[in-house]
Amino acid sequence: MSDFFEKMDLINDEYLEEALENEAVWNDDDTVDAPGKNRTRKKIRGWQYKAVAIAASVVLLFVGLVNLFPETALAMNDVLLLGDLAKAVTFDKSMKACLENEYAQYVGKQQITETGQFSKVYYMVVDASRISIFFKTDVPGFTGEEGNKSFAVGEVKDLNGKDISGSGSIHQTDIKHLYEFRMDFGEEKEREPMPEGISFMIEYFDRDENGDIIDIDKPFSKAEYHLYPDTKYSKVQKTYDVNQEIEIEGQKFNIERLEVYPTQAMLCIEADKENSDLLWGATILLQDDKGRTYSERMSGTNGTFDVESDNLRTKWYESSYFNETKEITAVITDVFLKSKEERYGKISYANKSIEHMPEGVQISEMTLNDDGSLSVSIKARKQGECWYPCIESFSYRDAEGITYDFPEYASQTIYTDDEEHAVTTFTIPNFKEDNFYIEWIYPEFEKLEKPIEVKVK
Amino acid sequence: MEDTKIIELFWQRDRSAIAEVENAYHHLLYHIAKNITASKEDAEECVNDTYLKLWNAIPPERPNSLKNYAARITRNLAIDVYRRDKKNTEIFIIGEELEGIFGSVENDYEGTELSNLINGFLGSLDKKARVLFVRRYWQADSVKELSTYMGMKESAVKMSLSRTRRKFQKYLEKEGVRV
Repeated sequence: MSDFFEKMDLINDEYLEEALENEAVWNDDDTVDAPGKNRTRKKIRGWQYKAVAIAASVVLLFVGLVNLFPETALAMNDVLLLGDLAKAVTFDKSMKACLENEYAQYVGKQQITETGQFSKVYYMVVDASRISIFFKTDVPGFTGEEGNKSFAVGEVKDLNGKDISGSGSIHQTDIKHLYEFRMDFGEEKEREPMPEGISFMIEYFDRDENGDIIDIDKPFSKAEYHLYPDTKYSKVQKTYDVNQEIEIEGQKFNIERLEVYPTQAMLCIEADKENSDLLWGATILLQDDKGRTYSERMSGTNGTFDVESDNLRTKWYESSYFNETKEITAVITDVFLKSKEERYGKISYANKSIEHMPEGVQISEMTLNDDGSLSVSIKARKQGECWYPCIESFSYRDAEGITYDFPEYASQTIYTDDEEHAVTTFTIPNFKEDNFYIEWIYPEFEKLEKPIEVKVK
Repeated sequence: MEDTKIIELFWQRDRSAIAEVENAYHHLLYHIAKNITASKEDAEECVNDTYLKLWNAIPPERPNSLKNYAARITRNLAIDVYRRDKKNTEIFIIGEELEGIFGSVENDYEGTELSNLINGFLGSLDKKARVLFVRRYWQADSVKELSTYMGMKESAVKMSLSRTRRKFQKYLEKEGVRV
């Protein structure tokens, strides 16, 4: 005989509908609120994504799970609406706009590791230049968060096992324990094709009493996710060719093009090889025909340098993708230039000087230590609206051109009380007079009398 | 989004249908599965499998009530898990409560005839008693949950369920069901 399960399943839809009609709202602590009491059922939104991963992966989803039920699991296991997520990414306007426009690929995968750490990947936001993964885990990830365990995102690999996590970074959202991991793939010309699938690994670590991970090479547990960026998203970009030559302070540059993605925008600049100065920075605003200004990105990469020429190559911005703009104009207001000839400065303890010291920089202290090393403190003032706290590079070289890293992180910038200056200190072991050079990366600041405007769209 | 529109998405093979179902009914489906499996992980697995089954079933199916259809799938998946593990003591208690009724119904009354009997009985109840009965014996809500949900004392819930069970037994006897 069949059991009561089957028999009770013979009830008509109308009675079932009636019983399920006033669906109660279950709280995170697994208690139930009566209908009408603090009712917070959310209106469904017309999501535009294609949940490719769901159908393909649900079967695999819970393989390897064990019966450990951390108290936080249910709290983590909630539905995260795009609107709520959008409110939680206040650190990135472009990403916020993406989510508000329901530009997101649903994932909805979750795991509990053998040791009971819960995680869930809710969404990916993908375009041709970036993958962002929004995930939650019940283990803190940042120093300062409570707990004796921590997580980090391990290697991210493509389907061929190649590590693609080099540009990865984790961002904390305004929702507790909800994070964004993002990988940037750079400009169109340089990047490799977007991977069809990625392996995304969350690794869990023990922390010491100071909150630091005890051994980054020894996670006690891992949660691996296989994610598949939808090609519908992974090819999305708009490119506007500009190719307009401009001249600033006698230096020539070509504004090549503007690439616009849902999550970011990129302006591409090419410096003339014949320039006497290197372009090491610039303040460039993007403005559209409706008066909106797109700021430089405040999180993640906000610019790149050309590896060969050391000139500023790209500037990254908030995206105009979801705004109907007919025109976008780049407005250049100031630049940071560095003379190629004065890039390196020879250090003299006898004269207490360094060659080619940029204007606004001075030596605070120079000490020859008993062990033969030389310690130097350099003070530099803030420039314009921008603040370049790095004064010299992290390495030095000798007269033969051999490069050495400073034994300790050199440019640990210390801001002075007036907040208008910064001080860095570096040490060169086995110092010899007239034998060592540092590389100046403190640029010459030039505020343009008349901003240069270039129509880029 | 209305159920009919979600069903239309399934028919258009638009995978956003799955997300719409999740958005609308995740809590309900999870609750049903959790009631029966008593395992958060198993419940989540049942719910996710429900989405896959919906995707595979619609089309050709075009259910009148997507909520009921999904809920029935989840319940069946959860029952499979329960039968495998038999860990949930609450289900054991529910089974015992119904033992006096269904345990004595002969096999002859399987299927349509039994369905008519059950639904005929449910139709004779007042709504409150019916909802309590269905939520307890179809959805496997605990007495405590029903108490909160219905705004009744637990003792009142137990009393109502007990009366309904007795009525049901008498109803079956009156209908000539061999017990």
